[in-house]
Amino acid sequence: MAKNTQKNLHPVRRGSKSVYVTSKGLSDAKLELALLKGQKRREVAERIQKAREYGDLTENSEYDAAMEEQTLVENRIAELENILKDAKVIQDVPKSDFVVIGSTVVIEMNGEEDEFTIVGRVEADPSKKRISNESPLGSSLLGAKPGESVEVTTPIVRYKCKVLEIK
Amino acid sequence: MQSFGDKMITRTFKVSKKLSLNNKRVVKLLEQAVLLTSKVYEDQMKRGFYPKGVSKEKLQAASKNTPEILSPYFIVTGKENNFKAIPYHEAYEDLLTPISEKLQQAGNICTNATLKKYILTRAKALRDGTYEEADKAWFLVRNTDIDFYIGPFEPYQDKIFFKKRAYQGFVGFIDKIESQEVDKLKNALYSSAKMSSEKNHSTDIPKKGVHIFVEDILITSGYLSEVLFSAEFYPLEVDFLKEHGSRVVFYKSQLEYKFEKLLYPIFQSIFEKRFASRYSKELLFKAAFYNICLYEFSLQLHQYGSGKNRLNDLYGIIDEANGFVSGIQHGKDLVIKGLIDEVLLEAIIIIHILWILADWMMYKYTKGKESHIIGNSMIIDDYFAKGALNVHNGISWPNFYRIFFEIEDMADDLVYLLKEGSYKQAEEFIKKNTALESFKKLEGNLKTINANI
Repeated sequence: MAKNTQKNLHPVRRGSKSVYVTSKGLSDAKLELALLKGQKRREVAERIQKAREYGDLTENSEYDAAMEEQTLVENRIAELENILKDAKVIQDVPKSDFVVIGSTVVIEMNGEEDEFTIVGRVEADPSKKRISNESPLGSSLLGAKPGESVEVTTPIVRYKCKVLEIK
Repeated sequence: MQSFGDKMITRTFKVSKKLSLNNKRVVKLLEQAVLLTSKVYEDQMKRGFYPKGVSKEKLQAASKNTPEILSPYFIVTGKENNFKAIPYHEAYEDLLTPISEKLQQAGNICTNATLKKYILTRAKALRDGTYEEADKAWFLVRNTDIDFYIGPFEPYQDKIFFKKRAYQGFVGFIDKIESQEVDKLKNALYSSAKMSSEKNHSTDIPKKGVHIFVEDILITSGYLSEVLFSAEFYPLEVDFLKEHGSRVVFYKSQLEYKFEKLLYPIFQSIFEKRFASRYSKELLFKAAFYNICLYEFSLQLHQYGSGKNRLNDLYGIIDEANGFVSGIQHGKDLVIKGLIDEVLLEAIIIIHILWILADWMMYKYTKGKESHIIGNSMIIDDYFAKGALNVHNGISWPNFYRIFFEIEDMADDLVYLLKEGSYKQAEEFIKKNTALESFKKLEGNLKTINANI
């Protein structure tokens, strides 16, 4: 698995279409970009310089690791710049009677309950119960009302999922 | 690498790591201790856990008066009507003393207080059998990348009761970044499980904490080395796990080695070229890592207190088969939540098939994996029987949807057996589904691959 320091990234349906973010998500992304372009770039440059001082670059694992980190930082900067370029800010969501981006939903799926918030992909982090609106589950739930069942379908996976509550 | 007979019982890997002079000395001593552990394992395999030729029934009858006969940490000697149970730390004292001394030396010079305590507690456990104390100290180690284990651990070599533990050891460096990544995967997978009623799993262990350690490995020895494990969870005692959670260690170096020497060559040999061209080597390695993650996460959800005693020697077969199928079953949660894409899920299923074949090929050299082979044969035979996999000069395009359907079906049966099935039910299930001849369908394609690795 590749080492990375990226946050809130997922590989689903990355394209050039608009990216939905909450106002908090937007400010977090701006903050991260500033951090990467300032402090992080400086730190990595210092690491590279320090590693060079160890000598022979062909047998220098510190140099390799620092260069790898530089690539990751630059990739993330490019990604955040793209996201911010296309970002559409979602205003704070009042409680709705159907699922929208920003809704926190309780669902029943495969006999088990789950709860998460549907967010734009830049803020998605399923380990923290934030699911992207572009994920199969997120996109299937948009527009659904409490009590309604939706089908989450991909070529391999099929799930039936019932909306129990919108918080 | 060190071996006895055809078995590899010590493996070493090159790891580049910057360490202080003192830590270098600590690691060197730990490596020496792990190397010596192979001698204990070798002795165990030569002497066996029970007197030669003794029957299961006679041991069971004798255990009524001498319960230690069935203890994981006692060997049994003597003859019928006069069995003796001797604790490991006495039975293998000559071989354990030099290991304990190496650990003592490492502990004495270690400057990290929690690691020092752990090393010294582990050294003591080898001398007096206080393994739980050592595990508790292990769970409290903080602020260091150095990790190690030495002790009697896996029960696979006990072919009678699946209880007696075989010695093993490892030294590794914790990769914190990768451990954090895997931790995210785990949290995404357990987030719904933790909320749910116990329909298909137990949430006891995830609630107490499943702690993830992805490690670059310097050395492994004993059973773990012989069968080339890619990950294990510690400890095995369900009561301990329910109280303290578990520690899942990923032996990244062993996984990389297995991938290069077996999984990828098998992939190149058995799949139709047009199909195989869809999956890069990099993607398949990532899938191998995810596959083992899902397997380990799944095992944490299916540790039922009574399972081992109820299913006895059949527990390993059911548990192994379930680890793989339930793991992939849980993988679909990651797809629909957008954590992995469907191509990666396909690659995980491909690796699942390759893994089954790799273990079968290694079985010739590592008989300890018998339970894996029987469990795996049930899975792969099901895929062939239901048309999910078709063979004609190798495997043609797999029907992933069908495989998934079969996985779900089998996972339901296996989880039932682990949770509440009787010994007889498990026995019947295994008898009905085991099909070792299934592997032979692909034998021709695998002739050029050396599995004695």
